[in-house]
Amino acid sequence: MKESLAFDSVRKAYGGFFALDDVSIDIKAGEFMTLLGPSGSGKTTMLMSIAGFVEPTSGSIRLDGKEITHLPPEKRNFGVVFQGYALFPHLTVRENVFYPLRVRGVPKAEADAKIRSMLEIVQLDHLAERYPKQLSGGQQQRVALARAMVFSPELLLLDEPLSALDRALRKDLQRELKDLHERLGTTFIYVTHDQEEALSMSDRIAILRDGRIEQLGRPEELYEKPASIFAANFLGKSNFLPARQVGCDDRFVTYAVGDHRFRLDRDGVRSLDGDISIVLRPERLTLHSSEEAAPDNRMAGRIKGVSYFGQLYEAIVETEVAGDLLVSAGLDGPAPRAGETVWVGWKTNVGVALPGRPEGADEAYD
Amino acid sequence: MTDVFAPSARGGSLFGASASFRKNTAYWVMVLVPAVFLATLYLTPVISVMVRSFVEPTVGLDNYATIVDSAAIRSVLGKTAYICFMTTALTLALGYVTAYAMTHAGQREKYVMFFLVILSFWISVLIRTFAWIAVLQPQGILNDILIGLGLIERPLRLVRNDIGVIVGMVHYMLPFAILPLFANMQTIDRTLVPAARALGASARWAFFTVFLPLSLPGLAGAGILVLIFSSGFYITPAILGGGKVVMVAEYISLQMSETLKWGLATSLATCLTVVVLALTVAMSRFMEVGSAGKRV
Ligand SMILES: Nc1ncnc2c1ncn2[C@@H]1O[C@H](COP(=O)(O)OP(=O)(O)OP(=O)(O)O)[C@@H](O)[C@H]1O
Ligand SMILES: [Mg+2]
Repeated sequence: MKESLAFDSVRKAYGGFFALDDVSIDIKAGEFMTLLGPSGSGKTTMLMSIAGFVEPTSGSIRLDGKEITHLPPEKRNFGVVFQGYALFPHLTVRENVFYPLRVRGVPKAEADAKIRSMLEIVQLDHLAERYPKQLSGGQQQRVALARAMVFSPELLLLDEPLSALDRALRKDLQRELKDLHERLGTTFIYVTHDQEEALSMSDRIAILRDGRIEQLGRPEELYEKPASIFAANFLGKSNFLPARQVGCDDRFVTYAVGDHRFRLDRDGVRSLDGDISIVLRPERLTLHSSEEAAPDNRMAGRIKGVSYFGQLYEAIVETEVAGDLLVSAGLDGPAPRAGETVWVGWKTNVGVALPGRPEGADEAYD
Repeated sequence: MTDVFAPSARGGSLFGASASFRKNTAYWVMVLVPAVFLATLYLTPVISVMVRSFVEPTVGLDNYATIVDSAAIRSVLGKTAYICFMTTALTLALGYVTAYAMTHAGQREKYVMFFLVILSFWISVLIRTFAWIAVLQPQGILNDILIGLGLIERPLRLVRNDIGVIVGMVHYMLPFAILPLFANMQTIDRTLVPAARALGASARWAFFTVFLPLSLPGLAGAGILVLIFSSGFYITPAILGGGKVVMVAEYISLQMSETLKWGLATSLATCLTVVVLALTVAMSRFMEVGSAGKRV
């Protein structure tokens, strides 16, 4: 696939503070790329430097190899959906969608056809003569989308487009957006701080932290093989076992948590010295009533509390070795009950070893 | 409080009614006292002025006929309209730029600019008018500077004519335009112009198609406000016009104090009041339309 948009060591400084710090990334044509990160991590800054509203302090941004770092926004031909939609309140839905076509001098008949088909795609053809304030949040969001897409931009930039909507509507629109992406083949660059949204919609996700890209990859990669404790913490729920590496043969690496030992497949993990953390996702842990039933990697514990989420249970298991562990259990097996004594087990192919300890780990494991 | 609510709490509807009557009485007294006060001190003179315009010196519409017929009065009214129009146009232009700058300035700059605008309210209009004479007169600061720089050879005539009056009036009116314009611009979503540019509009086109239309209610409100104020301006034209530029307010005063034609004076005053009332109604319509546009 041809390269569509490239960041090359882009920095953006505000005074002495770097909102973007040496960001390099290649976004492929037609890709659904999500920028994910906590508040203040530089997501909007990165998106706005693509849109042309933020001028990088150094580095370059290229579109199909062509330098666009200092091009003004109106020359870029990108669709932008702003966080608050930014619909023009003095124009009707139709006039809002017409705006980018009018600027480009598209003939009336052609413009009308484009507006009609775009409004049909977002299912707003019956509301074309309304003003934005007469629409619900979800409808406004669709107008913003239609307006950003009607001139067939090369790139669609979306800054938390669904964050103001309630959960059910958000789910619907997520599906619609994904649909639209597949139908039109436009490159989407999507900012969110909702990890579930990022996982379910994206081709690739870039996790941002303090203006840097912490990890970049497909959703499965990021979830299954987080590259840092920050990434593991940010995407999904995790248990962190404070461990040391104590042995290594050609099949397994052996770890110790206190006096307790367990093994992970050698080809799945890095060899590490010093303090490390083993990341175990709650849904990779299993609960067993007896030691014999549990896999080789196991520890004894007592269920402290259980939460029911409709599609699964989440149990907090208090263990002597590793403190509290979060374990998800499906609805098929027996329901976990608070107070039960259990064995928590996991297979040798499910853990990820990372250097360091999570912040605040000392209190958590004492 | 308790004795007002206690009877109805006991369920006696008669007691409840009398309590609410007592409450209403207090309410009406509080409304009526200032209303009567305003009516006697404000409405009575206005009405007496209006009545006088129809009965002095003879009963009938003679005074109004004079207004229509007299070439002198027509020229005063024409001059007033011209000065008001120029003042309003210039004030709006300068006020718009200032309000725009204030809206887009950083937080601290915004406070400083706001303070400077408010500051001019603290200085009396008389002092400001005389200050303008010091600046604009033939031996004034401005002419001295221009001659010193060799830009002109003989002093420009900047006072005792329309220019002086308009400069002084624009200066006085500016805060009255800046404040409503600024208030209106504050309500315009800051992402709209960037959104327009992202959609392909140049900075200028985005301003004319997005920002300007959304600031029209502010512009209309400020314009009418300035027009109303300038139509009754008295001190500034009298001093900076130096008797050469006579606007309607000064003309009315002349009729009363010099020629003692009270009938003519009061009929002109009545006309002025009617115009101002009409403008006020127009302004309230614009304000309503403006806020309705936001609410819809
Ligand atoms: N114009 C500016 N001047 C100074 N600092 C800025 C400016 N714009 C952004 N920043 C800083 O840059 C950092 C990144 O901001 P940015 O808006 O990109 O964060 P974000 O990831 O979009 O956060 P959020 O999820 O809250 O929208 C923040 O610390 C912010 O304070
Ligand atoms: Mg943001």
